[in-house]
Amino acid sequence: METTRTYRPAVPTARDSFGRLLLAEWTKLRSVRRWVLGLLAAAVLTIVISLLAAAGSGTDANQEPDFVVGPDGQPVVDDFHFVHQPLSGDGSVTARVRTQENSQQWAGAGVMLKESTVSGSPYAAIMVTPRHGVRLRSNFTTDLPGSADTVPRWLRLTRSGTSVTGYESADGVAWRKVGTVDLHGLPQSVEIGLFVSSPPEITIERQAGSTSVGGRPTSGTATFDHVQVEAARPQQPATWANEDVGRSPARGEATEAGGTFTVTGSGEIAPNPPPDDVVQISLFGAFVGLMAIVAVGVLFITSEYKRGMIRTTFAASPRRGRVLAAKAIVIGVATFAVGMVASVTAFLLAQPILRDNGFAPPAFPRPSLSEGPVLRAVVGTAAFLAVIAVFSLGAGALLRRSAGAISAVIALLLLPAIIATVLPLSAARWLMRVTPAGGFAIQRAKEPTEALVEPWTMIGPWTGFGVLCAYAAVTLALAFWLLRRRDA
Amino acid sequence: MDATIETRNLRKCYGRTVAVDDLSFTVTPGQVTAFVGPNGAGKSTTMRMILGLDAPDEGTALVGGQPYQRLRTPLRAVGALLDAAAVHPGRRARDHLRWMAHAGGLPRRRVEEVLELVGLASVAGRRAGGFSQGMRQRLGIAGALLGDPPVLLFDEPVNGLDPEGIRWIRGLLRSLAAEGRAVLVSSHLMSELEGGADQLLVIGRGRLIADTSVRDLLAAASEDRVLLRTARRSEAMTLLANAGATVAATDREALTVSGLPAERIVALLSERGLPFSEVAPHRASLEEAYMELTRDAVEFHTSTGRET
Amino acid sequence: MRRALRAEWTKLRTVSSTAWLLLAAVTFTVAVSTLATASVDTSQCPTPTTCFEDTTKLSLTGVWLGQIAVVVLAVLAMTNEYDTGMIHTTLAANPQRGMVFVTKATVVTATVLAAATVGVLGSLLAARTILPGNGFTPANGYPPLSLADEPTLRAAVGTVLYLGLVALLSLGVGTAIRDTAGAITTVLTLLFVFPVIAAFVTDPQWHERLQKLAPMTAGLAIQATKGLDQLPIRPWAGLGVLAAYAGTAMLVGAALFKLRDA
Repeated sequence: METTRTYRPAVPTARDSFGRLLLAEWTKLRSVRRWVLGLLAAAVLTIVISLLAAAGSGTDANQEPDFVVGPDGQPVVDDFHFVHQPLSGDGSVTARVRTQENSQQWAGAGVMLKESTVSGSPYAAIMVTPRHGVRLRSNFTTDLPGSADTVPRWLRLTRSGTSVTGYESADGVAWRKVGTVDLHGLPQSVEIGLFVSSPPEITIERQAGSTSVGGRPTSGTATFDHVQVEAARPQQPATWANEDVGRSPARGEATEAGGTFTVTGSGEIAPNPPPDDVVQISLFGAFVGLMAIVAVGVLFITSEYKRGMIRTTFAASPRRGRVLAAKAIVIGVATFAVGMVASVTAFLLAQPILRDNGFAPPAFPRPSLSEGPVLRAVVGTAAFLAVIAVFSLGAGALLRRSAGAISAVIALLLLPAIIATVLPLSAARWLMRVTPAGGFAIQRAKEPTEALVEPWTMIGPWTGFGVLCAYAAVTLALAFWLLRRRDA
Repeated sequence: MDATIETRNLRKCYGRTVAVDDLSFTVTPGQVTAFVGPNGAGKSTTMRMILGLDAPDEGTALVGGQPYQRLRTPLRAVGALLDAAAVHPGRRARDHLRWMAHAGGLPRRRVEEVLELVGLASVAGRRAGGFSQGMRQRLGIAGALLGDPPVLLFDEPVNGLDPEGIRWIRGLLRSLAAEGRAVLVSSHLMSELEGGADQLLVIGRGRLIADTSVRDLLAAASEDRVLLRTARRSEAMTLLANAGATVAATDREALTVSGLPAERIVALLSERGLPFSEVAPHRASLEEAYMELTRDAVEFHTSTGRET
Repeated sequence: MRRALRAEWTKLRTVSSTAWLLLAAVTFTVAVSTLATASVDTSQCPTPTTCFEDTTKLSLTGVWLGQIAVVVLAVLAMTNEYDTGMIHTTLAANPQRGMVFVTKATVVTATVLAAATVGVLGSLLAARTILPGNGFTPANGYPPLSLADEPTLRAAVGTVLYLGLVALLSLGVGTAIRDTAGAITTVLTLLFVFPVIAAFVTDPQWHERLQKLAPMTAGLAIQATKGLDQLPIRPWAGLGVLAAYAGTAMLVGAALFKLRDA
């Protein structure tokens, strides 16, 4: 018998390389028109539905503001009772907070230096709180912790130029510096004195099948003694004035007897952005786009089982784990690319529409792709779609039938979010943590909050995304294990 | 690589059904080996075990002395056509071969070469869903030949083909074997393999019934049988039966006589003066020989209303 | 007609996936209903009597998951014939395509209605046992769930009908699209995407429009037993919206079935 002629390819002997496998799977994906159209449809749906959502959303937050504009243009609330006198140039204020009523865990009693009594103007304050110790705060966003002690406590603020330093002490003799803040552009003349604030208590109420979150106003009283204001430059003797700054929910008051001030105040000094997340609204179409992604991801593997082509695939590549890995990479990368185009386009196109509908500064500062959270939301949405594609692939590899895999993935992604809207908040939060539906949280540019009832606002973006990734990983791992054990 | 397929004591059960039982054989290069047996005999299962797709419960299957899983570039070593319908209908024929080439580490130009070889070059850009049965088989064969492998497995390649297609495949298999490759073809129809196979592996109910060359099988089945054509059938039948032969009527004018040598038959007939037009050694057809062999192994007999 | 009905029934009951899907429909419905009911109590209401919790609607929450099994079952009833090529056999035995379509629809819907009844009764029973423990007692104004109560009966019957309509919708879409994956994805998108969109859209006009026109949201209005005047759409009208979707899908499917090559 003559031996067969050995086939000598013009190309050097190709190794059994993973790169070739990726190329093979990419050829499979791009050569079925339906799948390509499915991916494109996902992008189109994402963009179109996002634009529809943007067009259908409106707000009157700027017309009926429940906020004032802070020093850096952000919406804030600035309500408290202020006992103050003018200060020109450098100086300091010292006081001992003797008692503080625990009207709310973040109620504040302390000393403050403020540009003026206009609500929203720049300030620096050092205060004690019933549950969170001493805090040095400034311009609504800076919050430096001091000691964890509570009343009685000595507090001091010292101004030098535009720089303000806060100190605390247990006895009025040994002072500890808490921190220094810089108030750009602080004028010579400022107001300085004592203040009391008391934020509203968050109430969660369930009625008629839905939960609502509200705020019950609180009011607290604190007593101050050993109050002293010192000025570097001699000035005219001043008298204390007191008033409610901003729109305090309850009228505050202050009385003085023998050097002891009793001050009652209510209200909150904090950022107060309206809860709507314009970035999430503009990426919202991904809810619909993902349906096409699930279908393509599942079909990418189940179609091979249906027609028996899986045998050809495994005969060409007996190392089945690598086939699964190659498929996952190809579908994941392709979906990510499509997703990026979709999410960037949707974001850019939706912003002007949203601005026209009232989502404009100052209530809603313009989001820009150069900001971390916005970039996280936009890129995160593309990543979210890519992980869904891989999750679908894993489900398809496990179940081997398209009907079951598609239904299971869609159910796990959408149902928990829908059901969560009728359940109490704690149950809703739990659902977001244990099901892949939590992945929608990656679309938010704002932080999770207790004040909203939409389920995807309850968990952090990386937490939610992590849950989705865990589901995808476990499904793939199970599929990997079963693939090698089962007959083709 | 040594172009052989070897199985040793292969066994596979699906639940309580024993699909393959203690199967051992060797397929050698240079000839077409036909794997034949009734439907459900275990042929496809065996082929899948050789390709490492199904895991045997016991025993081993080796290609070129190695299990399939250990081959570095399997498509260069073994080419297989298991199911011609295993193509996505929405995919173009060329793309189907292309992904196989990529997965198998083969150069792209092989795709065009095999398309030429099987005669599908003109329809390579068409989607496989629009292919006829014959074109699909050709596509499957093209895929098997992509790596120009020394070992080839074809599972029922002529299923559903027209006579011209069957002839083409037979010729192709022969030429592939003549190049020195090992070719294993499975079939459940003997007539298609007539003239196409050299070695037979006959399998029934999962067991190997015969491992023989076609020539030997035919010879064994044809022994002692003589074809007799005569117009005076009944008289000839009685005469020969009385002489101790077993006589069967084959059709209107022909008789098959076994148990007497041809000269003796001629002598007997001449004695009586019975005319006859033909006395010839009966060449059993492969189909007859095979039916003999597998009569007990057919699991799903049909029943005819009457014996014709 | 009887012959065709028997043929369709045989086809449906002898496929193993049918039994599994029906079982899934029932268990998913009861399980999710039970979990939802168990997670709600009166502690977060201002007072237990002012909860105004629609306990009947809450106890039938599971249908949101159970309907997925119904969708798959009804889609497969038609697309499976195309996948396996059995449609040729079916039409050869019975060339009257209209008849084939109607009998298939009848058999599938009847089966789904039966399973739905079991699921709904199971959910109500489970809720009846759990609710008093969570503070929804007669003393607080929540009599035990009972079918003798007219709104509850309406909600229960309506939910069963809802699942039947979902089956018809799926069958229609499956017949029109003929592809399992495509049909299932389409129906699930139609059902699930609208409630999610509605959660986002803040414009009250659009919000109400979505609630009135979305098949699942409108259809499930039938489950409401309290606060009926605040609903975006009245119960039977909501079910009617879903019926309109199902009817359209069936008509389109039937037309395509009759006119296209098999």
